[in-house]
Amino acid sequence: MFKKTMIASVVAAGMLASPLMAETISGVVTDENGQPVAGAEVSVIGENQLIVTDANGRFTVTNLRTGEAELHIEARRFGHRNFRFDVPAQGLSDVSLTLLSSTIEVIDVTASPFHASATESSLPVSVLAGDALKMRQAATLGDTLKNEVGVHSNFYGNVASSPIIRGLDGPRVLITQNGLDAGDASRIGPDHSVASETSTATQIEVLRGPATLFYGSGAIGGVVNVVDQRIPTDNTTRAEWMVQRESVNDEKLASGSLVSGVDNIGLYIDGFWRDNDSYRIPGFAEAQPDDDAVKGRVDNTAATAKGFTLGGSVLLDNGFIGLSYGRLDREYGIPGHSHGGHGGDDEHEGHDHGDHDEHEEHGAEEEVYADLTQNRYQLLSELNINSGFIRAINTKLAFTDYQHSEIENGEIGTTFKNRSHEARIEVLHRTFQDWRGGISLHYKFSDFEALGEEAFTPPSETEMLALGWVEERHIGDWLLQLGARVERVTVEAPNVVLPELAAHGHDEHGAEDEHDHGHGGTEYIRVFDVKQRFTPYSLSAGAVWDFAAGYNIGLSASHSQRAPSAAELLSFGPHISTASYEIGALFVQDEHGFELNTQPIELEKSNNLDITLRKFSGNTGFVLNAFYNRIDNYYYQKNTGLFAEDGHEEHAAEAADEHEGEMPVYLFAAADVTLHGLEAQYVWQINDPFKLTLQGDYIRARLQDGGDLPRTPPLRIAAEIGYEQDAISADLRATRYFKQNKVAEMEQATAGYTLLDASVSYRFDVGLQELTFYLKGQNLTNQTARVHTSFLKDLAPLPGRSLAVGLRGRF
Amino acid sequence: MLQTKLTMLAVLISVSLLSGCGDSTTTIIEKDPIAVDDDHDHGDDHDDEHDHGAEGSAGRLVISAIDNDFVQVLTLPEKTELETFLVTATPSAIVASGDNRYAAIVQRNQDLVQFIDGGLWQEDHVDHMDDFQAAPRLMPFQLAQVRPTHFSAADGQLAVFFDGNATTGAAAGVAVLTDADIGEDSSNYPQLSLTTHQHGAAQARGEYLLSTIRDENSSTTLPDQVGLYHQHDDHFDLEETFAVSCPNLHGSAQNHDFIAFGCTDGVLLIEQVGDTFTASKLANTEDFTDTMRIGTLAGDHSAGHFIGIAGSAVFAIHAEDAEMELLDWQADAATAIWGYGFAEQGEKFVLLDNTGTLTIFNYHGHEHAGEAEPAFEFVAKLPLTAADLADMPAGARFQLAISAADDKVYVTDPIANQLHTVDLHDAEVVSTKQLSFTPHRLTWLGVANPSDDHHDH
Repeated sequence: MFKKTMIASVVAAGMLASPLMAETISGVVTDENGQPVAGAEVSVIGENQLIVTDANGRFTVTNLRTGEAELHIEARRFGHRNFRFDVPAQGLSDVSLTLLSSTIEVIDVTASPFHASATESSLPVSVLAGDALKMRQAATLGDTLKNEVGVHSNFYGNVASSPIIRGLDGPRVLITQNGLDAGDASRIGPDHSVASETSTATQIEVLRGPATLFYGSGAIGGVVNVVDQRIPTDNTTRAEWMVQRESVNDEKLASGSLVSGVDNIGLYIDGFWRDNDSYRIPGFAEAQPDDDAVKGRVDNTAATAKGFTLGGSVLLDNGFIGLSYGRLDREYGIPGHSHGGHGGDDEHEGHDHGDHDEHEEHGAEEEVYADLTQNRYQLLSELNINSGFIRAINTKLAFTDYQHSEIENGEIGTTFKNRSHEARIEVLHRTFQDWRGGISLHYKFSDFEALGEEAFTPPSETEMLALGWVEERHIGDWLLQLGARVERVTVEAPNVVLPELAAHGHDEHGAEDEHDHGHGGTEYIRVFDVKQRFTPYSLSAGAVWDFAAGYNIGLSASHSQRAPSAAELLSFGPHISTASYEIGALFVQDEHGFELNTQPIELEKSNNLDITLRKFSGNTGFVLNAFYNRIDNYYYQKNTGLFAEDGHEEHAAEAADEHEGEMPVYLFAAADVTLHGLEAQYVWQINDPFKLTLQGDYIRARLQDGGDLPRTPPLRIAAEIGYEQDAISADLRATRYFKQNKVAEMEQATAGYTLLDASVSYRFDVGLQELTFYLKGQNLTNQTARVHTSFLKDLAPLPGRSLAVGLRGRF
Repeated sequence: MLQTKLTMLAVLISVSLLSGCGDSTTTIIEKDPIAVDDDHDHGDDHDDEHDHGAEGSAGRLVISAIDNDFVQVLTLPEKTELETFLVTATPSAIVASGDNRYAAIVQRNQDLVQFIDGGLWQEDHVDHMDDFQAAPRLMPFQLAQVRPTHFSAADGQLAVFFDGNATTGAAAGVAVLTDADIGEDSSNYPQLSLTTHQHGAAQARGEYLLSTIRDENSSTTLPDQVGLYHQHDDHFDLEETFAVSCPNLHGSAQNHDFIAFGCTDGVLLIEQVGDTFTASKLANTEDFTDTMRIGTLAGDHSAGHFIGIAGSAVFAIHAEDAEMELLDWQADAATAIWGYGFAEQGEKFVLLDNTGTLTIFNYHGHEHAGEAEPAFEFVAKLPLTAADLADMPAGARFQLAISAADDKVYVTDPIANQLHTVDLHDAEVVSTKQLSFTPHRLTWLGVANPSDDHHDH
């Protein structure tokens, strides 16, 4: 929005200064029926101009250079369109540009330096924004996005779910806030919550498939970018707020944001508060309940969170520069974090029906919760330059101080800290020989520490410096996109430990002490100072072919490389949230136990092909996508068949033959894998109020040498019927998750399930405010659903039937 | 035997790997390994968990090595290892917290203080005290201000003085911590921010804090005045700057009623009566030569006397009577005092000198009034090493840790890599442990007045 006002003034200034030099194009934007489209945004590609059509659909762009010009037109409910002109010296007037209406919601993605939207890019993207985002926002990012095509949630008991993109997550999916790394610990443990809030976001963007070109190593599987207006790009006063109450976990939510300002200053403030109890379920939490298990609730999934953001910006004639500060505090229970079972209390007799008080006691016995704090500073700036080769300079800086402690029985068990800073500078050039693009310089530093019992990974510092280059141009009906990036990643860890792990198979018991220094009394923990340097690069070529009006095909081929993360390399210790003893790729297993790996640490290398067919005009639309992804040296956790003590000392010696207090030992190993899949979305505007959406996705993830990867999302199809007329909108959605029986070694198949969701909203105005009252129901049939992609599959099913009632407003 | 093994393993191994296509290099340098008692992993813990009282009441030791960034927690009286923790850098000092539960692992040049929970503590249940016992652990709580230097613990509080840095212009400051602050990873413990750097000292007195003040134009980094500060929430406000100056202030201590600071011209004594603090100067006696001054002070809550150390001269200072008396400790060949303190709950006073000899005094200051008996009664000298002092590794010192629970003190010998337990009552070494590293710093942790109720944790 800022761009409109700002560019308009730039244009005005330009006309005053040198009216004679200006080439102009003027004309009208219409729909298929010749009706003018008001409020369409007309921008000049490769230049800093953006004009909004008036009530009659008319526009005038000026200050063009003689020669070729390309205009990009976008308007709500229409497909975006590009038009190219040869501009003669006298300019062009009375051109008529026709937009085609679209049933597919088209919103531009900010996370890509290329212009990108669901219908225009060579790589698939999707955006959740506006009312749809407000209706789907949930306490975790994974649950917010779980209904997007190609995105699943790794469901960690409602408290820490994070998104899975095409079967990949953790260190392969990057979570960003306004394009900058979220700077939390969510990439190394599924029980670590993403430090970002969805109720105050304006849009959430998902780049499916490798985005290493823009974001580097951590984005080999994709990017989720949470966008808000913390650094406002205009100062039109507006506000949004919502309050909601949800039944399944008694969640209370209040959030709001306000943009305002004076003169050339823009100001922003937001805040939110959420509080919920443990959620209800129809049956037992455990897949194989103990005799004393109690039905009806997943213990220890209560959470409370609050946060606020302050931001301000200076709006310049040619851009803006702004600063923001955000603080997030969150406390959440960590379900399934029970150590070595249920404390064996025999007094529980309540397994016929969940008596509540008793139930609470049960929960309190092994209470483990996380206490998270994040302070986040961002500086964002976009500066347009009106002449010369350089068109714009975009700068993003962030400093993030993150910490969370896992507290067991009132005592701090483990503390994770991540102090990170990041800088990204993009320099975009003016159209040159029909090519548009620019270079980016990207620096990221993370000082990571884990202290305490569960400090499975040693303190490390990771530094990344990258240079990227992207270009695109139109050739006839084709849009060609090229990109390359090279980065240097260093991981430094001065104290990597290699203990003599008393790991054992379950028949022989630790007779491995044949080491040269085994005489009685003393063992040695070997300590290493480790420095790793990687130089991964990425290459990408993409094309979008507008082969017929209202249709296109997107093609993308890319080669991406990823440096393994510090946790994948250096870990050596019990990781309770994944119930495994994790050993990094720096170590290898030999007949004595674990030794230093003397083989080179390889980069993960991915070759990816992606094809997308789209229809985006008329009353039906679809997006069909197929991808094939071959990854060499894919780091995954390989079961060694050994068991080791979980680090909790309560159960020291006596339980040696049972598995109590022991964890399976997993070693990070590299193997070649293939992932391929299909994603489809079909939208039909049946008649004025009714719209039908069908979608589905499927993925296969196989080890090249046979076998499947664990926790791969199952086949899923969904149908949604939407109604929107006057003040009422409503939808009814059924999603079928099929059985997943393509499982890894030691993994169990998961049954399918169907979820039924519905919502109804009523809009009304009070004064200047537009209010929406809504009811939302999820899992209306009260299904017990276990999520195959969850580490807690056998401990925490999805919540049971839930009703939410809410009110939101904006002005 | 252990030593040779360690030396052998300490040889650095460097691995450098280069794989194809210019994409990754790995450099691995093996450092000194951490020695772990073998029996640790196989059941000793288990025993600890069910130990009733005896182990807990003797306390634990936290000990560091001279050139290595780990600290070990040893259980007493056995001195067997419970746990070894890696800290960020080689500790420059180790100090016990106000209630002796936590050890501050000072890494002065890294501007860092980490904390280790010794795992022994006491909870006040109004009508009785309960003792708790748990495994030691490294705490998330840290201090990261510039140059943490002087630490003084008294009456449940630990005052940490940060010197700041003259070169970078970082100002000095003080943090006052209770054991609860450390345990809860608190961020709102009270702090004092000063305006200039200084090599200062602070003493906490409940909600009051006495801290040194330096004129920023002074040519020395030593302060010359003392201020009285009062806590308001998370900070201290200056209430009063004492008019009595203290040129080149160094060294401080406190007892029940007085706070003492060492000055070139004597000892600054500040008396607290309720909320009223009164300063006076106890001038140096004629026993002082021109170059002598008291630069180190020791005190104990229950002792009426302070001990002032001026080089190798030791003075008994009675604050209330404003008396200072030279103490004959039969220094012999000793030229410096490396360890000192009241012991056995104020019944004894000990000095550890640079010949590795422990000097023990009985302290009779409590019933001092009117009696002819000297406050400090020389009891014994206990030489703890026969080694050639020239073999002392660079930077190493004999070090002393004093139990707050019983009549034991612990002395490290960095020449022989030994750790002695000394019984003060019998003035004899009761046990010696051979260490697998060169000891550097140590402190005692535990419960000063153990109750009968023990809880395993």
